[in-house]
Amino acid sequence: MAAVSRYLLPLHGVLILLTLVGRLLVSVTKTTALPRYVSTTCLIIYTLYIIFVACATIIYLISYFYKTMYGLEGYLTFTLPAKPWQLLASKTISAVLWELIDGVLVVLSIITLVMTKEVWTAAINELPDIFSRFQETYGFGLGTGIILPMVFCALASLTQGMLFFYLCLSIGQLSNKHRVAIAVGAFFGINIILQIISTTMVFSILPNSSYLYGRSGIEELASLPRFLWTGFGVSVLLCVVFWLITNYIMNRKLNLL
Amino acid sequence: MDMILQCRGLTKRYDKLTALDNINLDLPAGHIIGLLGPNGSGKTTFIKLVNGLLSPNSGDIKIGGFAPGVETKRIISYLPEQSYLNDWMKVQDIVDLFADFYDDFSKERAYDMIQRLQIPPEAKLKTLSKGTKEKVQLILVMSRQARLYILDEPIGGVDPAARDYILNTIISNYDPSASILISTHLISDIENVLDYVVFLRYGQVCMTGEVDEIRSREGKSIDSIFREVFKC
Repeated sequence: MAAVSRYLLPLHGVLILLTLVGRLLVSVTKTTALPRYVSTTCLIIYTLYIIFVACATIIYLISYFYKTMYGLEGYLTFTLPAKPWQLLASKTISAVLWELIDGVLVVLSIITLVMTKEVWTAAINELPDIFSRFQETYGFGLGTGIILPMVFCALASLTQGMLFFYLCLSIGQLSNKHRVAIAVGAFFGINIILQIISTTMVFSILPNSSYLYGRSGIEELASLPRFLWTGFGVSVLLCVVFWLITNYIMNRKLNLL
Repeated sequence: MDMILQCRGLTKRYDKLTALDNINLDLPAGHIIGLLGPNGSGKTTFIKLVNGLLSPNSGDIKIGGFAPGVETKRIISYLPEQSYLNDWMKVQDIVDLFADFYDDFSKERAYDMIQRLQIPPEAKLKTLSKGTKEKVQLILVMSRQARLYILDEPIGGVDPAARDYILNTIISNYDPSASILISTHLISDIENVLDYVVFLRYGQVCMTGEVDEIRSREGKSIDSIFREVFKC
């Protein structure tokens, strides 16, 4: 975790700094009229930086895994008295944790810039009412029916995404040549297979469901928890599959050149 | 005689190239063993298989009675050919890392060697010379109380003075009940410390035995035999 934090902490530190500067500019614009190009430039820089941080975090986590597992540092990693699943677990936990930190910071940063005191006050006053009306309309709570499964879905898909990258890199290291190219090939190949499977499943389910027969918005939202929990289940299943194959490769097919 | 390492029918292929071909070996415990052979003879492949860093195509290996796994990693102290340490880490951080992971690691012994070599513990690895980095790695490996030390070309890339230091470090820091497997093609430098040798050629064992026995049988030094066996 310390090794990863070494690069990702400063990266996210700059995001916090940009947010604070942005917030300051928002406050200043209330009393002083700034030239339009200043606010436009700031907005572009901020947006680009958010995209950069999100991409850099994922790229760094993937390259860190490759370097410490299948690069020269793998000689140390795989000679430590730890089982491969323990190594895989430690890498996955720290990567998912960092992706969460990244996501939460980006959301908080946007909220900090967009939300004004008035919006906050209105939101706080309205929220209890929204929750109770939701319960009355749909028969289930907004928190337990929508927000909770969404949080679980986000966690599962973050883990699934990371394990998928790990699996592709593990497949790549099986080869004696062009290991990264093979990992990239595995990424696209498996993705295509998964897309075909999911599309086939959706089309085999849809004609039998009531989904095609002009449902109202209320009906669609009412079935959202079921869809979210199904999505969560699929993500967990894929996590298990990716984990098992990666662990098998690390156990039985390690190929450190 | 107790055996620290045994392998049967060990074969490893890289695509069409056979790096190790049906190796059968019994290496005795409590010996300093030379794994000798020219470049490309399969020494490093053999060592990686023993450490579980590669998987064999066929055959099996037992180290202290265990197949490569957590149990063998606890008893093997391995020095690879290349540096596997993270360059941004400080010497003291790496010592702490080893102490955390290996129960048999002696921080006292490590710092004693670090001090004798005048390596600043707070120095980052990237600020050290290649030779000093290799010494740090050797110190880490020799500061463990392992049953088998595996050193892959420990004297390959360093100057003669450093070679002497490295060999002295190896000899003076290992428990006589433990075994050391040293891979090298620089025979003359280490011949005097070896008790047992394994000659590898084209992925096959072409000679193995006690050093004294081979010397008296052949009437030559191991270095001379090596030059004859591997004459181009």
